[in-house]
Amino acid sequence: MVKDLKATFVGIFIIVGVIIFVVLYTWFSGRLGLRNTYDLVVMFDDVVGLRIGDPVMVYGMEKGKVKDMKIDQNKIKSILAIDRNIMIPEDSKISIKSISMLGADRYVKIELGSSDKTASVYHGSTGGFDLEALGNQLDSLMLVVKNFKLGDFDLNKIASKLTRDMNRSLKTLTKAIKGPSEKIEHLAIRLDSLTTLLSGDGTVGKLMKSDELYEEVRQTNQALKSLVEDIKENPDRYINIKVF
Amino acid sequence: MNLFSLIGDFATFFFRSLFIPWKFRTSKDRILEQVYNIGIGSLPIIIIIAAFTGLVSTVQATYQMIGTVPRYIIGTTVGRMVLIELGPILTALMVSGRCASSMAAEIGTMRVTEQIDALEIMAIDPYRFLSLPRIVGTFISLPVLTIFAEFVALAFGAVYAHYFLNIPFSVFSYGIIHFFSMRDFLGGLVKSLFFSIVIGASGCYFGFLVKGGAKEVGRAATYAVVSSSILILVLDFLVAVLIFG
Repeated sequence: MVKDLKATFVGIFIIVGVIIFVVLYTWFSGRLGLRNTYDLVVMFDDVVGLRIGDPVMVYGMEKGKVKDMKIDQNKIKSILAIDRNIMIPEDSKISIKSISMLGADRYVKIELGSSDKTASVYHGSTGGFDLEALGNQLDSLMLVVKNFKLGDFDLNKIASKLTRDMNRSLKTLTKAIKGPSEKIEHLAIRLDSLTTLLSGDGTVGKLMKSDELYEEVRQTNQALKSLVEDIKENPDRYINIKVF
Repeated sequence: MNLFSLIGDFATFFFRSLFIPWKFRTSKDRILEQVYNIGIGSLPIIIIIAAFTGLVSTVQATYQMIGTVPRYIIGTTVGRMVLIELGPILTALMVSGRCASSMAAEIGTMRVTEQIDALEIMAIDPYRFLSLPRIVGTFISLPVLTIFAEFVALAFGAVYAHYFLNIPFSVFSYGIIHFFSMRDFLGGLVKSLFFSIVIGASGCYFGFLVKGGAKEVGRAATYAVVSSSILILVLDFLVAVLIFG
C-alpha cells in the first residue's frame, strides 16, 4: 500500500515535471496562445529576422502573434494568429517593422483597408529597419571619409585665410560702389522733384489727376470726331473754294 | 590515495555500478524509492530556493539595468539567467547537499555495520543493489527538479516585477519570449543530467570507501558533498563551453 502510494507520488512528480516543461517551452517559444484567434496566411519576400511569437499590431495595438513561418517556393509563408474580433480586408497593407535600431524587435504592422471582402492569402512587404543595409552604407561612407584627404588640414588656417580674402573683397566692393553711389544720389533728387511734380499741385499733376479736365478732353475729342465726320460728309459746308 | 588512483578508482566504481548486467524488474522498486526520496523529498527546499532566486535575480537585474535599457530586457535577463545557470546549478548544489551526503552516510554505515558484506555473502551485487538505484534515481529526479525550479523562479520573478517594479506580466513575458532560444532551455537540462550523475556517483562512491567507524562515515559524507559540488562547477564550465561556447 505504502509502495503504491510512493509510486503514485513519483508518477505525479514526473508527469507534473513534464507538463511544466511543455508549458514553459510553449510559453517561451511564443506558442502559448490563450486568445480566441484565427489564422491569417501572409506571403513575404523576406521576413528580415521576424520570429515566431512576434506581435501583430493593428493601429498600434497588439492584436495577434506570428504563429508559424516556412519557406514556400520563393516566398516566406507566415501564419499570423489574429484575434477573432478583427477582420482584415483584402486591400489591407501588411508590413514588417522594427521597434528599435537593435533590429531584434520586429513586429507585423497591419493597416486595415476599406474593402468588405477578405482574402485567403495576403501579401506583405518588408518595411523594417534594415541594420545590415545601414551597415553597408556606413562602410561606403567610411571609405569616402578615408579617401577624403587634405594636405595640411588646419581649420584655423583655413578660417584666417577666408577672413583675409573676405576683407579684401569687401574693400574692393566699397571702392567700386563709391562712384555710382554719387550718381544714384543725384538720380534720387531728380526722382524726388519728379514725384512732387506729379503729385497733383503742378500742371502735369492736374493733367494726370483731374477728372474734370479728363472729361473736357474726352468731350472735345468726341466733338472733334463728329466735326471731322461732318466735314467728310458735307465738305461744301466748310470748304468753299471759289476761284471765280 | 593519490589523485590519479582516485580518478581511476572512481571510474571503475562508476562503470561497475552502471554497466553491470541488471534487470529493470528487480531494480524498479529501489529506483522508485530513490526517485521518491531525492525528487519528492527535495521538492520543498527546491521550491523555496527557486522562489528566492527568482526574486533576487529580478531585483538585481532591475537595480542594474532600469533606466538604461527597455524594461522587457529585465525579463530577458532573468529568464536567461534562470534557464542557463541559476536553475540547474542551484538545484544541483541543493540536491548535492541534501542527497549526496545522505547516500554516503547510508552506504558508509552499511559498510561499517558489515551489511554490504552480508549482501555479498547472499550473492547480491552491492553495486547493483545500492549504487545503481541511487544514480538512476538522481538521473531521473534532478532534471524534473530543475524544471520545477526554473518555473517557480520565473513565476516569482514575474509576479514581483508586476506588483513591485511596475513591469507588467506581458512586458516581462515579452522579454523572455523575444530572446528565447531552444539551446538555452535544453542546455540547462543537459547540464542537470551531467550533475545528476556526479551527485549520485560521488555519494555512493564515498560511502563504499568507508573503512573504520562512525568518524569515517561523517568524513565520507563531507567528501561526497565537497567533491560533488566541485565537480558540478567544473562540469558546468565544460558543458557551457560545449553547448554555448
